[in-house]
Amino acid sequence: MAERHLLYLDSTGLRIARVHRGQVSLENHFAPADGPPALAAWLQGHPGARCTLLADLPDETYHLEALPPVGPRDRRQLIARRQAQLRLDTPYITHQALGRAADAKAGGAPHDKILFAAINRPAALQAWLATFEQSRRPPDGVHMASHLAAALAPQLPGLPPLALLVWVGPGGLRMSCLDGGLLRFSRLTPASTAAGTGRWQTCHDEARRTHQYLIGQRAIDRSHATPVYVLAHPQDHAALGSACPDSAELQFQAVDLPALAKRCGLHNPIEDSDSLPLLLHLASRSRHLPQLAPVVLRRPHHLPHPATALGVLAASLLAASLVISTHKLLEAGQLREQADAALTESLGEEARARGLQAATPRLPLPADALQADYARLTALQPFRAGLTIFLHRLADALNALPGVELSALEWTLAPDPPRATASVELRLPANPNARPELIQHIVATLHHHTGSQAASAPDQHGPLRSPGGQADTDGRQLIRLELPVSPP
Amino acid sequence: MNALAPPLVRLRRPLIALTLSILGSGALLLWSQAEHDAADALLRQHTARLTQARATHQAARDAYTATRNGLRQLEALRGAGLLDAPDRQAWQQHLLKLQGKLPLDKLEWELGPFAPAATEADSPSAGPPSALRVSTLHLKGEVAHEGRLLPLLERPGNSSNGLFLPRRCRLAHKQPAPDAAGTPALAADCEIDWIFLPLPDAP
Repeated sequence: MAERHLLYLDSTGLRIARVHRGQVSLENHFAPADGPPALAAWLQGHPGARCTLLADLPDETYHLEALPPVGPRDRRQLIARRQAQLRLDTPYITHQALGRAADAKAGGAPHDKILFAAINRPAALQAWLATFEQSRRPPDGVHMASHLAAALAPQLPGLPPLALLVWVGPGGLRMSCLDGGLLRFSRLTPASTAAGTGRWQTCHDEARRTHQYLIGQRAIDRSHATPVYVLAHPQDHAALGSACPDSAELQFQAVDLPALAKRCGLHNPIEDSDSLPLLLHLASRSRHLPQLAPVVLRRPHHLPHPATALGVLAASLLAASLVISTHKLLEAGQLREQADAALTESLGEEARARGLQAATPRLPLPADALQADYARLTALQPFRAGLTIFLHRLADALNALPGVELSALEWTLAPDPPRATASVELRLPANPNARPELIQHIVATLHHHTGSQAASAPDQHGPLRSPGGQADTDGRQLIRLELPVSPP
Repeated sequence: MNALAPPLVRLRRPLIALTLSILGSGALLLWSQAEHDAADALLRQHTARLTQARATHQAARDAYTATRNGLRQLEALRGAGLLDAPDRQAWQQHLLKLQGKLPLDKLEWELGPFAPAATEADSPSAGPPSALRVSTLHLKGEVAHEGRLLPLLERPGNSSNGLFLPRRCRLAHKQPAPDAAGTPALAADCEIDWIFLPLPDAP
């Protein structure tokens, strides 16, 4: 795995530190005179090292600009135009958005605050970056140490919206102005003037000077005392307190540097007021520090190493195929279980069917033919004595009808469906006056004795003849009745 | 080409790993898909077999039920004597005996042979063919009165085989002549079926 290295550049040279799991270890220090060749040699000796350059140089410029709220594309063009208007004559310039604000007093429209930061003396940085370029080892990023003040702000409890933050590093004493937790201004006093016992006196003087400057810039309100947070080891707090007394304008507050470093996750022991280990640790953990170097000088972050990409691709392919194959194999297992269950059940059904077939006796006739013949015989059976019984009942009816005689009878049994019909022809008595009542009486009597209702009105008129013509032998009237006979 | 060679050399192992990964993944996917397809085909085959087995079992159950029902029907028919063939000779003797006992000189009959019972359902589309057999007695002639006719319409006294069924009968009274005392006065034309269900001989 590639090692992460932080390169700290100040006016005394370049320090190389290795940062790993909260541990910061300084490995090399290259002076400006012979530094670039030594850096080139170091880069050659560490082909897998990933480097981030942190510039802590005194010649810096900070400009706060207000931009109208526009779309992203216009905003980029507007920032580039303002940056050109600054005429800073350096390629090492960056900007940072400080949020949106409205000029309440002027009643103006809301605007976006942009802080431009630049290194005025590019030569101090250029030689080192040229070494990276010549070695074909672009750094991961080039940042200004002042921007780390914003990373420290969340770790300072009770930090007011507007405050000064002071720390001491190898490059000197840096004083930064934080506005709402974001960097508004920073100034580095070189180490030559901030060393030794006079360091805290320098701190006091620089704080006053910076305060006056910021008042002149209308960045600080003079009506309130400005808090000044100074990162220092507890052993220096007494000297700091005596050198930096509070005044109506400034209120100094010492911050326990080792305790702060511990809160920030640094595992190195802090034995003096040098904040460099903490700054390097914060730089290694901060992901969104403004980039100072042009894009062409930086290592592209979005492109992973081809070997890594190929390895990830191969592993992804294998993992995806494993997941899909496992899913399919699990499904196949379930299908096989279902198939086995179906086979077991079908074998059981087949065995039961065979047992039932073996236990089924054979009929002498096909079952459906037997069923049909059985139904027919069952339906016909009630009619076996139908004619005899009907004749007896008819005889009983005629006995009750004096003078009425049977002339003819036709019995018919239709087989499908079985139904019997009797057509009866009766000869009426000779007295014509009684005929209408007699016929009704005959029908009622027949119905009473045989149980059959005449299907139609009896033909009671018979043949009509001339008075002198040939009549029946006895001249008696005939009637015919159609009687459906129900089974006995 | 030479400029490209060093990067390719550096990427040789990752490329080999990627190639092996592609090949392995492809083989794994093909094998798992083949296993899945085989299991799916097996399930379809066994499901079809199960469907067929269920249908066979249901058909066997239906056949068993129909057979048991048929056996009960045969027992009922046997109990009613409808499986036994009528004795035509006994019928003939019965008629001769009645003719000798009663004055039936003007009566003729014909006792037909056993033949398949023709039904309206005997058309090809009307279902299974009937196995019923029938012998038809055709009576025609004159008798003195209905009382002489009734014994002819009844089953022979000692026979209980078959179904004795008057199918058609036409009776007509003749006009009595003044000088014809004692002559037959009733014309009869009747057909009587004697039906039974013959069973084939057991093999």
